[in-house]
Amino acid sequence: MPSWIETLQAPWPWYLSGPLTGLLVGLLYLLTRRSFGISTVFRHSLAALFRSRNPYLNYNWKAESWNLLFALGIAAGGALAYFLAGAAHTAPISAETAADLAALGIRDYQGFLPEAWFSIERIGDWRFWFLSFGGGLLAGFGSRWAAGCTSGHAITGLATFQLPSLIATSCFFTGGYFASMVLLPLILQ
Amino acid sequence: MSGENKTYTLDENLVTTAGSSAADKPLAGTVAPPAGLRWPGLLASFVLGTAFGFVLLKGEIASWFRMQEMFRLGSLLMYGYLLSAVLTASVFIGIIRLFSRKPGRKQATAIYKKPFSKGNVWGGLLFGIGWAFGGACPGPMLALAGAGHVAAFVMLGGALAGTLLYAWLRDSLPH
Repeated sequence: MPSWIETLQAPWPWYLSGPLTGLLVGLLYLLTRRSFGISTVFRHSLAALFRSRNPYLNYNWKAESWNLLFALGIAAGGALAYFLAGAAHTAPISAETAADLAALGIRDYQGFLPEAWFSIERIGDWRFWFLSFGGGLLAGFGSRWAAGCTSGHAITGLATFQLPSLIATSCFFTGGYFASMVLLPLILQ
Repeated sequence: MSGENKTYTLDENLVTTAGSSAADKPLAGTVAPPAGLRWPGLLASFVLGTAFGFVLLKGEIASWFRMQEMFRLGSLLMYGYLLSAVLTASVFIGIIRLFSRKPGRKQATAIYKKPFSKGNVWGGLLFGIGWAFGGACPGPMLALAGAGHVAAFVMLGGALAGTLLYAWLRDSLPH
């Protein structure tokens, strides 16, 4: 098997995926003259789906249709990677984290989401909805309030030396540390 | 920017057409983008999105487990990912802007100043909590949905609901 196919099939190390991500951000800027940011797609989707009198959702969303296509592309890329390029086979996680997660009822570390809480069989469990729908709700609400998510603030904002983005990124991580170390054990144990 | 300038910008704080809000000032050396994009730009957006979704899964950025590792400081891999992405993007964007400052060249566009708001703090904290619960920020949610994860569709539904909730509540929230 040629080595590039092996590289494609194995999980990628951070020092490959990180610079590649930065390169894509730069290419997007170069080719489309748009700045990288994803969570705004939820706003454009709502604006496209509903005719609202709310000024926040009533605007010329068609001028932002590149963002809808970008989001659609992300889903397509996920499908390509998962079904054709072996992304379903993930690398092991650190022993320390595995031990932490075992206390939360997670003993299978394969894949991207723990089967224990996110599999379709769990759909009757309130914790499935709490983590999935609740997590999405907070991420959607929070990213609009913060005017950006990990892509817009932590990548584009930091890469262009913007102080509000540094503040937002610090708060993203503070919220994440608190939720992972304090809230998740309370909810899942 | 004046009225005859046929550009369109999306101001995160309030939707406006270009120049009508104090907040939507492009960064120094950049000008507002042209309204909309023609098909080459739209195609480029789709292709670059596809590449990004691919990287998110191959690099395991879309993994709930990796996010827990990051937030529990069990591994520094994801910090390496984020920092190297920021650094590469910074250098790339910096070079583009450097060259576009030369007279006679097309000016680089549309990196907007992000004005500070209290939402950066309160919204940021809420976003962080949601990020840890689902183990995915918006990009990974989309990539996982493409990979057929039902829970990711539920997360996307939650994100749409959260955005709608924000649209309703935004006048009463501190900014």
